[in-house]
Amino acid sequence: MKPLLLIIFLSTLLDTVHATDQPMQPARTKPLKAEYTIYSGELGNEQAPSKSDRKLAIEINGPAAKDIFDSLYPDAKVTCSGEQGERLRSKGNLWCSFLPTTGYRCFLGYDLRAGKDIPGASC
Amino acid sequence: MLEIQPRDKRGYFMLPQAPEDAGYYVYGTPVDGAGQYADPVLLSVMFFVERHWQTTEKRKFGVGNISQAGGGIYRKHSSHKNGLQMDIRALRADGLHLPVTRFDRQYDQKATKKTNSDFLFTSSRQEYSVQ
Repeated sequence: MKPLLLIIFLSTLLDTVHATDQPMQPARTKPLKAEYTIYSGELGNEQAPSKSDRKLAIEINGPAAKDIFDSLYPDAKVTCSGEQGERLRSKGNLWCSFLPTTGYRCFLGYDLRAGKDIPGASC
Repeated sequence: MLEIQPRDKRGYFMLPQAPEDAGYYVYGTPVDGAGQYADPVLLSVMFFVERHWQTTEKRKFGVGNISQAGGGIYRKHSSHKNGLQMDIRALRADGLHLPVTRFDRQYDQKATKKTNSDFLFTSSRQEYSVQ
């Protein structure tokens, strides 16, 4: 008799939790404007990828970059160019910049052979 | 024949592509100096540091991306548009013209610190980022 009581109790509890839950809001999938490079060597001197050295650098632009930038708050205290109005935001190796002259840009990278995230651009 | 240094529409000259007696070597993409157009102020700082460097060093330091002809977006960079940012490689103990990170055995911390200090001391705008 005891297991049956427990099941009834849990079922009632779950119903109560669901009743107080917020309505479900599935995440929206949006288009992405981006370009990528698969390279070997170092950033700023990217060479053709080799069998043992293959890294991926992705740059995201447009509304997606702004969306990501907004999610990475707050602004970093440092800047890259010293250009008026420049803003930088980062979390780990994912980072975004905003410049009045070029808009929002986000960068991420991945070492495809080592299997770890790396920067996708430098200052 | 007299060789004329390439110049872009901003009036910025391409960094001389490391003449034999220079204290620096060049690297970076795009190749052949296409990403090495510099503000005259930066070139002056660079040449001053180079001369100072050569008084005590036989090794050369590596100069990479600066800005492309006419400025504009430089891929894989957030800045490098106005000819005032310049990539400098960390120094290697063996002096080879190759990249090195601070985790490598060949990384020469003392020499890297010296180039950093020389640029900091010489620059009027002291914005310097180490990557």
